[in-house]
Amino acid sequence: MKIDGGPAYVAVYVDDLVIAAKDPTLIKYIKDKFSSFFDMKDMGRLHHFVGMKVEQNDDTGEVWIGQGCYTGDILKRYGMENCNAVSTPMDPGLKMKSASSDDTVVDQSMYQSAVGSLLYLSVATRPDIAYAVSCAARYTAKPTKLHWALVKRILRYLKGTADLGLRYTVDGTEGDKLTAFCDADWAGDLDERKSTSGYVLMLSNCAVSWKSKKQTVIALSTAEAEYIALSAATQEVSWMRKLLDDLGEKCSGPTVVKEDNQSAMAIAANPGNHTRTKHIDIKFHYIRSAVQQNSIKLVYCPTSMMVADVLTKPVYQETFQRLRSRMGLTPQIVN
Amino acid sequence: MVNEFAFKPCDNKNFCEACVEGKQTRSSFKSREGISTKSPLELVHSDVCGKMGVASLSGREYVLTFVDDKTRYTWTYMIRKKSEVFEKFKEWKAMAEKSMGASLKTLRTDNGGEYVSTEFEQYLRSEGIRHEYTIPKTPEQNGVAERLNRTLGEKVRCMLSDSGLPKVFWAETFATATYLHNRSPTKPLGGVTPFQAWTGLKPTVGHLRRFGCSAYVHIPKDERGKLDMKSRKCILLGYGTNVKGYRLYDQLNKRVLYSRDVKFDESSRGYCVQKQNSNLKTGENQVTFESGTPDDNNEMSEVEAPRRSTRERRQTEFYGERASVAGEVFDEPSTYSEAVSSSSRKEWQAAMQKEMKSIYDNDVWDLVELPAGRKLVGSKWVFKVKRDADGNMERCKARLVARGFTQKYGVDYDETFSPVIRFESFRALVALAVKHGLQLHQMDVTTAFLHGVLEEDVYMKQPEGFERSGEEHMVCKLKKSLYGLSLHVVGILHLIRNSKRLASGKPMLIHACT
Repeated sequence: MKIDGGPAYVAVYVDDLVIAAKDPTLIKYIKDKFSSFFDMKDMGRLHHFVGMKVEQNDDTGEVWIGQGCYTGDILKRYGMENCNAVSTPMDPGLKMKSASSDDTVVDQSMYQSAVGSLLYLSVATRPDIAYAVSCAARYTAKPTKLHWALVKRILRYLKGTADLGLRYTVDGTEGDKLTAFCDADWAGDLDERKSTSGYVLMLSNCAVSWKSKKQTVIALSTAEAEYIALSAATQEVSWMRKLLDDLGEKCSGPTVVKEDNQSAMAIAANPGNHTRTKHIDIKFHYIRSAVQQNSIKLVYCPTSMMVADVLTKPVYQETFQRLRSRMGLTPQIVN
Repeated sequence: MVNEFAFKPCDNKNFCEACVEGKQTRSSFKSREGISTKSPLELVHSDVCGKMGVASLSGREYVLTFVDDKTRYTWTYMIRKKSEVFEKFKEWKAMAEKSMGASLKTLRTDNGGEYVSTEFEQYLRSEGIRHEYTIPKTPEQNGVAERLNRTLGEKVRCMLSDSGLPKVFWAETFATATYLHNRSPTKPLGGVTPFQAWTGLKPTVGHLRRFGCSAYVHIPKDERGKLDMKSRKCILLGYGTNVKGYRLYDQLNKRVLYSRDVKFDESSRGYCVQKQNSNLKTGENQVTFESGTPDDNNEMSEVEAPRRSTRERRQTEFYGERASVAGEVFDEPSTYSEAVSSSSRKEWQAAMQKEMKSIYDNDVWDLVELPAGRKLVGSKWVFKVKRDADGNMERCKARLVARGFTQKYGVDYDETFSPVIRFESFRALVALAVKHGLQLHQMDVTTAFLHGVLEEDVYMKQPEGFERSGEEHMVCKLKKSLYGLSLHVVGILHLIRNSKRLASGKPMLIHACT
């Protein structure tokens, strides 16, 4: 809602309200108004929101959100609070397969609840484990020791990185604007040879939306896999642009989508039909119309800078840590 | 006989309903002398005997018997479950038909489920076998098979008693009893043994020894050192039918084995009672059967049991870890009765009182009679321990919820809706706040659910433990929404939508970011 003194935002989560406004008197006015309608408690500055810890630094204007406490709870729940930490959530050499008939199946409900806990983390504040968790979540129907080992590996990674959270900062550079990174891993799934899409949307130098998802169709080439991923990223960008527009934040010009595959960009740019692309489903050509309508702009980005890389495959430690910090994942600000 | 009574036999009345209703008895069973069948396998009697109450060494609980009517030759199979009957029947049929060179014509059984199943009946039909079964509750019609149960059962009891073997050996005993039965003269055959009637050969009985006596088995040369004993004491259990030798039990090593080099001491029992406790408690499931024991053996049906590891069994470690974690958690009762009987019932009682006070203060329901035709929704207490960030117990919380999952869409409610922001939207808001230097504040609606004003009528049971005395039959007609109800329209959004005062006339955008 708009009110004198700039925009004010109210976010509702069942019975929790988050109020954002520039002027403290405006915030007070809103709070008073709400209190006159409902039996409400003023919780002051935002510090916790649905299990996420929120830290606001007034000097730098930064905001940090993280789930260190919840991470600790998960570790304790699965008896991993004293485990040895590792630096990546997934071993790059790991070959995940679904269970064969002679594998020992582990307790399914425990596996599922562990994956569920990790999923919550991965969608709330931890894009760095999104790929590993989505891998683990593929095998909930018949988890074996191999799959449980992956879950434990993720927990060991969390043990060493429980203090990581998303830090939103503004420095007046291009990073302040909405930017998307999009990547795909071709035929990474060994059972069905399906590819994995990954994208990250960044705003204020930090990830706001991300996804790592096994594609629903089988891509015949790396370019096709990237193209399908690009389509998913485009859809998310469209939604985010609309949301920002509704929030009074006009997106001037197209949103930059960074992509590391020239062929996929060529397919998107060229509306013609070719032998190699004629089988690609129409729905994936959504991206072409978005390019034509100037709502997105594809920009090449070398793989070494591709943030979404960590959402599509297991990455080695050095690259992993570099890309992770580019997503805005940093330890908590100490005031 | 008596005075003043002219005795006249009632004529024309050979049926009196009152007499039948008052005096009827079961009809008598006339047993026919001798054997009416002309050739083997023309008629076979079968029955299942059990459950024995004691599982045998290899876990069997039932005996399946077959008796050929013409020759009275008997086969017994020890089975674990009645469902094995069909498989064993097919096995037996193939064996018996092959060895006799004739095919089975009629099978007579009782009316048991294992015999009259669809698959069994279909099989018999496809094989052209007539199936005769008894009238329910009339085992007399399956007399041959039933009498055999008694004959063998009595033999088994005597043999166990004489040998001093514990009951777990019943299956071994049963098999040996069958073996002996087939080699003993039988009355319906006029003193001929079933063995002779079936095979045409006279049985030899010179090898028979007293059941359960001490048997000293010669240890082969390559299995012993120069000064080791040359014999091992075992117990005679029976006779091999597919191998030529005695079937023996080695009590020390808990093994069943066959040997032909045996010396018997028929004057002493082979079973050592002192060892019974230590042996059978721990060793019951560890009995091993000599490798190569044939299991297609129709008389000695105690077949080879798989070898069991003697390693101590433990649960895998992560179960243990998890269990230990669960143990530390302050237990949250899952029902009202658990809460009021738990060690911390005072805390829970206080928590429930607090919730009830909030409900009364907010005027959530009226007590009414349930109108006819209306459905009643249950209620349930949910208990939760609230902890601070360090995991210390902060307070106990009790919440009354409606069991709204019994409601039906369209009948009991039309709209289900809870405003829940997407994580993406929340993060976008935070990012925007950073970009524009906004301050983030938060508010919490105390008992948010109570503000949902219901448009549909919902009737709920009175909360457990807080029934109004004297009005226990009354129900709560809800005026406001409770947790768990499938209409749970939280009022906040409703009011924001309708409220123009808040925004003082300025345009307001509601983004459904759920």
